[in-house]
Amino acid sequence: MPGKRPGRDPRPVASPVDGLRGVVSVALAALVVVAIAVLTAVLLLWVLDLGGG
Amino acid sequence: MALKPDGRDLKVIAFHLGKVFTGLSAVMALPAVVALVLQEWNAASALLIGAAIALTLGRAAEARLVTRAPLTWAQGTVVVALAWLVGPMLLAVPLLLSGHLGTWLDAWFEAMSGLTTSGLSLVQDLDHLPQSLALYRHLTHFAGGQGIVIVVLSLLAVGGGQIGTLYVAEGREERIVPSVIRTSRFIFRVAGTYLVIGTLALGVALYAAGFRGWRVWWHAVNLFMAAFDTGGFAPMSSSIAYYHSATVELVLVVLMFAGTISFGLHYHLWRRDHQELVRNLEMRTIMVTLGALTLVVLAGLATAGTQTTSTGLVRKGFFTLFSAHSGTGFAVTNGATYLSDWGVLAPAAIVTAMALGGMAGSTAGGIKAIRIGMTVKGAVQDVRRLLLPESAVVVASYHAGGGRRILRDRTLRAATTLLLLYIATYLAGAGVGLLYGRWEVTETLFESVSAAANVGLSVGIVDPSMPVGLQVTYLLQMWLGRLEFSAAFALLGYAGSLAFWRK
Repeated sequence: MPGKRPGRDPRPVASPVDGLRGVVSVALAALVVVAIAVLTAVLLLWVLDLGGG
Repeated sequence: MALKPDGRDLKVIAFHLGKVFTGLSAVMALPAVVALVLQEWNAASALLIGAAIALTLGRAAEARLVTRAPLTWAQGTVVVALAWLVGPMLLAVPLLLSGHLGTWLDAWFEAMSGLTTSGLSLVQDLDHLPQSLALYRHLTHFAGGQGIVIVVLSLLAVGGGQIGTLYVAEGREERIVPSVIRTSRFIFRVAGTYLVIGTLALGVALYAAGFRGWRVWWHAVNLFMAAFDTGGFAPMSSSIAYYHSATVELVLVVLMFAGTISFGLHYHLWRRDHQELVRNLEMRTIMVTLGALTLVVLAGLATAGTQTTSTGLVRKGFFTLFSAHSGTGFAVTNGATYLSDWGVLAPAAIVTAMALGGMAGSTAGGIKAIRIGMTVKGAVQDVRRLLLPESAVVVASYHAGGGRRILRDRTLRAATTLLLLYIATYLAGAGVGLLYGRWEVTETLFESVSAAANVGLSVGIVDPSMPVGLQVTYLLQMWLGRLEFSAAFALLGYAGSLAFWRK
């Protein structure tokens, strides 16, 4: 494309809002991991019939 | 054959090391100001003496050895290797002068552990360490986590072309953007953003846990640096168990997760490429290993009868596993119980998680998810080659850095070589521990993996009374693990060349 410098990404890094969105994505992903761990613990106790809450 | 290093090489290396030492003086000067404000005079003098020594050495090297010669690849790697070896010696000065570490070697070990974001500690009476020195310990995590050499040389405006070698030598896989200086700035933007948000979140969690006044923010800042930089130091000797708070633990899991993510992946998330979270090979690998090991740890703890409630399993088992996998090393229970009370499965999974580590290009240590993922893909590729006709072209690819990449044999070989080097280092450290005849192989393996993978969980071998030989072994393991071997090997090669060529 005339006038376009090669190797430059047109999308800028990043407004503070984009940064915040990035932080929120990471936080949500971490919370999903924790939720899966909690679910695993509950199911495991049920399967092993240990009956813990 | 290695080229003969000459005086000009040494001058260039010493000049750049001087710049790093100047930067390290700032790491000591900042908590010195805090010490003066808090009127902790002994700590202030210890920190100022340390800063003065580093500054004097740094400025002297810069002034007397001034050079405009560009850094070669070999020189750059030697600068990094030496900076990570000698830098902690300078950072050890305030720790030694504080009187909370028994010997100079203890202080060097502590500083190495801090800078490499390991978290193993030899501090005596940690709970009564002056607040400024506690902040200083955590600041070493922050400095080391961001990559002290690259940060210092970026801030001191060494030419961009020259520091590209340092960036890779410091254990970072790839530049996030073409310019290393811009990459370094981006890393600081990410760290700065998380510093503000993470400290606020921890502050709220600590307030909810009953902390009040300045203690909220002092604990929050220290914990943030230890969590986000996957370090593992804690302000109190009982680590995270001190807080008795599920909310604090939850916030720490989020911060550890953010710390174990590569800065490259942060970059894509900051550019709204949220799909990268599910497509990235490293993230997929970590999710698989974390999921499988979570099941093993929880099943191990439940069947051993150590934890029989879901709350206990998650807060003790999962938190410890996550702390191990992310390379942080926060503890929520006495380390000695990992092997005495946790059965067989759970500690085995914890050791495996420590050995695997986080993502390449993050502050986490260990083998790294990208190498595990590549090795698995390589193995699958080999099986496919066996099963398909000889004429079939078998190509493996993976998603990383925002796009699809071909898994080339050279890349795969580099990954498997490093994987083997890490395993050899883990085993070697365990072997050295066994030589003393005081510990079981399970204990020495746990501690060795924790040191070489820069994690920091301990079953109790790391202690002020530990043998000097083992202390040096763990210190070198932390150094090797942080530099991912190459820079350390380059230093050895360079030293060998010097010795060989000198008549």
